[in-house]
Amino acid sequence: MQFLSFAFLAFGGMLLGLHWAIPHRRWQNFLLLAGSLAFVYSWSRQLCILLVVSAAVEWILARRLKAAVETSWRRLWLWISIFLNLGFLAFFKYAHFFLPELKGVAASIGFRSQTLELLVPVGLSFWTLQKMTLTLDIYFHRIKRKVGFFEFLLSISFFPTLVSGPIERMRNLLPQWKKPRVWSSQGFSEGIWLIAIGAFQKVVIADNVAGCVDALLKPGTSVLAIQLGLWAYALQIFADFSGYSDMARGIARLFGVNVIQNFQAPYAASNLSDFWKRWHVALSSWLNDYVFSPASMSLRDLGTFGVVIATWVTFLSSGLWHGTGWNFLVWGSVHAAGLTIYVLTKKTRKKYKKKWGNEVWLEPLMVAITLEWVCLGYLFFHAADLREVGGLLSSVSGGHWFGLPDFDARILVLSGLAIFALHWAYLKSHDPFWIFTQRVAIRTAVYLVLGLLLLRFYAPAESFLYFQF
Amino acid sequence: MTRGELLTTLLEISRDVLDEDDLTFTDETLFENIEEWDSLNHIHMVVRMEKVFGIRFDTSELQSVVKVGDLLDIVARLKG
Repeated sequence: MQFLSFAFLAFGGMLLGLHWAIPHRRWQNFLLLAGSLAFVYSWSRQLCILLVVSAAVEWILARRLKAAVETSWRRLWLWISIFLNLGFLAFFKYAHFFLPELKGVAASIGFRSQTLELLVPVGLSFWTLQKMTLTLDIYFHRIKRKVGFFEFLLSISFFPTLVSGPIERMRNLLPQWKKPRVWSSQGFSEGIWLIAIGAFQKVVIADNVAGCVDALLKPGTSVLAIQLGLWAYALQIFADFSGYSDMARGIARLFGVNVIQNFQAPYAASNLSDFWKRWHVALSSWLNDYVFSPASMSLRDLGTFGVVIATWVTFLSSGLWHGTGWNFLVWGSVHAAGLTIYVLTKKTRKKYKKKWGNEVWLEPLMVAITLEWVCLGYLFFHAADLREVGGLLSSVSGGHWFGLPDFDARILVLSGLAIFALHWAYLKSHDPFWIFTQRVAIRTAVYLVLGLLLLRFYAPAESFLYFQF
Repeated sequence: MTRGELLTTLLEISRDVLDEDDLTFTDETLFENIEEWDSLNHIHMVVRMEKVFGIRFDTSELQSVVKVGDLLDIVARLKG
């Protein structure tokens, strides 16, 4: 059941009506849990069973960890949790890729190979990381209270964020099930706005600029085509994933639940560290809290070298999380290399900041360099494998510089302007609900344009790029 | 060291490591609101604090720190 389908509209609408008709928080939670499990069931019965069983295992481990007094026992329960979660993820996501015979073993215990392949697109990578935040946050003393199984299961299966995140932390979600949720017109308006702006990014921008990406990023075209294709892909993947994330947040908000803002004008970042504070914030902050911080703390006696090692561990982990192909590891390496340069040039940057800090050209130049580095990463992220990257780069070695295939340049330019406008509107206020502070005439015009464009371009069949992870 | 002296020393370290001469904060300031205090600078801050205060942080004890006051509590405890 996709967000942009009439089936989801009917399901979500019915659940929403019932949710606000029920007066008590406890019954609202029960309804949300039942609705969320029904949503999971609509994807796959086996997935529903796996979700509940793995949540139960995690919850038991978290209880043991919380009850443990000695550090050695606390560490043991934490490592069992990490091992089980990552093993579980690796089995379903990667094992069938490396060892096809495992499909036979899985079939013998009731999971057909098709089931294994189906599990990846329906959020396994996302809810596994989300699930782990319970034990991790208890270990790091961020969750101190007793956590009930049903509130934990609801947090993991909560249907707006199940499929592709945002990967919300248990410490942020759990308290929300304990507070009374009161319907407010403002919350409802904000939810509808997020859904509308998310659908606009997906339907109007991502799905249209995808045609430019397909036309431009073909082997043997030209260097200019690759550059334009990477810019087009930068627009597509942002609009696709930010669009999805906004819709997920909007749907959650309709139910009175707040979920982390996943994108904060990432292409306005003036360095890679800044970029990762704005792009896929839920995942990057997860990796920061649970991979980079512990690793860099453990390696701090090595000085800057320790920071560099922790950076590489973090971004190679991110590459592995995205997929098993070597291209994802190279993508992670591109970002790790960029951040290594950033770390090693700290003193030089400090010197030049003092010299040129007030120059008007410095910030746009740094934004452009950062965007180009991110696009270099997209060269590997977009490709199915390294062979495809080699095919694209053959145009460089062949000396094909300026030839362009047939593509609709107007779509690329208009998409670029639309993403620029969305970044600008956000940067001006640092508020995703900037629309509500505009004059009536501007608000009306924006609503009209959004509505007309959505009606013009709506197509229910398109999937989201991040579903594959 | 008094609480005020700890705060003053932390501020001096932060201004130097984060390269922000005008930086100010109080016990209640959230780290997420100190723009330059990102994860890369955080580890430089940890190393400098350990050196200046003569303490050693446990790997996991800074994970739950949210505001400046939380950090000062840990520093004060470790300094005894």
